[in-house]
Amino acid sequence: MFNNAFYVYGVVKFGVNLELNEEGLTGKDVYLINNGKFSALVHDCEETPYTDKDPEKIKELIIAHNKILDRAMEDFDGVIPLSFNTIIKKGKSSARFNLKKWLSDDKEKLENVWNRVKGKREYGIRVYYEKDKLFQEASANKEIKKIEASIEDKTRGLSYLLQGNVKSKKQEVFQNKVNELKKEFYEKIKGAVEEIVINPSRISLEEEKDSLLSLSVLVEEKKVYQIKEILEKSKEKGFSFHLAGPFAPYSFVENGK
Amino acid sequence: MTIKVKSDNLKEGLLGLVIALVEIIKEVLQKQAIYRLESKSLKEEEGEKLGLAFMKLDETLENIKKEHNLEKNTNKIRTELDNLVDDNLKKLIDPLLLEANKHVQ
Repeated sequence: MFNNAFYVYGVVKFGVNLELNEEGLTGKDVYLINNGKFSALVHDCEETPYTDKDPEKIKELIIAHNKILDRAMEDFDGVIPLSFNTIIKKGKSSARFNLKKWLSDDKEKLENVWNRVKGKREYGIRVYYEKDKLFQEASANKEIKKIEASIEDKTRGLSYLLQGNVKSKKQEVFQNKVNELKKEFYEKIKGAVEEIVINPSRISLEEEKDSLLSLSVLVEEKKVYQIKEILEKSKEKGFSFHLAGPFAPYSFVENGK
Repeated sequence: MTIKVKSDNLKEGLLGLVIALVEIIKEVLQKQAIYRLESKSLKEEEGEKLGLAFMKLDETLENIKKEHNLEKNTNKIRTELDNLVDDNLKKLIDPLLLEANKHVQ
């Protein structure tokens, strides 16, 4: 009897059907279904996506998903990761036929992505800085001091209005300094990695530290030490950082890139 | 992205949102006034009147925030609005993001 559906973890370049001897989501046996050069990492499932009212249970499912991808990265020297809950269903044809057809139809795209991610891992980098200190340094410049001096002899209302000008000039100078530092970091890290993606840095509501830059990088494992060296050096200038990974290269396979 | 207004206290949430919006509009008007002062299309006497009006408006807003314990809530709404702008606008104007996007495409 045919399966209703396959839960697909990712794709590897490996031309053989194989049992992985690894348990996936909810203890399911994970194995490879091959078509040509590529194989999908799958387990048999129903057509309904995995979900749970308890966020902790969902977290467990995602961890199990990523565990399979970690194993694949080790065993096959890379993996093209797919999102949690990627399920190939049967339609007019069986789920197995649909899965094999996808591997075959998209083989050129898969080949391109594989060539980019093979042997590489994704790391997340977040750089933090001391915002207040930098603001003080950046805003203590001649132009701002000149504007401040020109306000001293003004009348009450005018002085109040012009104080707003000083505030926005300080903010502008500070923002330029932040952009300069971001670019400096970006260029340094870019030189040590294969590919780089800037994640939008948001103003945090809860975090105590101020984030200067958030990056995802694709890098060969043997070159990770170069990133660590750059980050360690930045500590001397008062920055701190968080380096997370290795992860499957999610940030570099989206949108058909 | 949605702006979160506290559902358990609608009055507080709505008032916080109104205050945040008034503050933003006031800042835009303030910038415009300074620009006009610098370009001499606004006389100093007019600037003085405007400055005093902005001062009174700021005092009133601060009093309302204190009275209704809204300082934290207003700051939160403004931060969320900043993030909303960041998400949509910064992608288009941040040169570093543009450079990075070119690099990965």
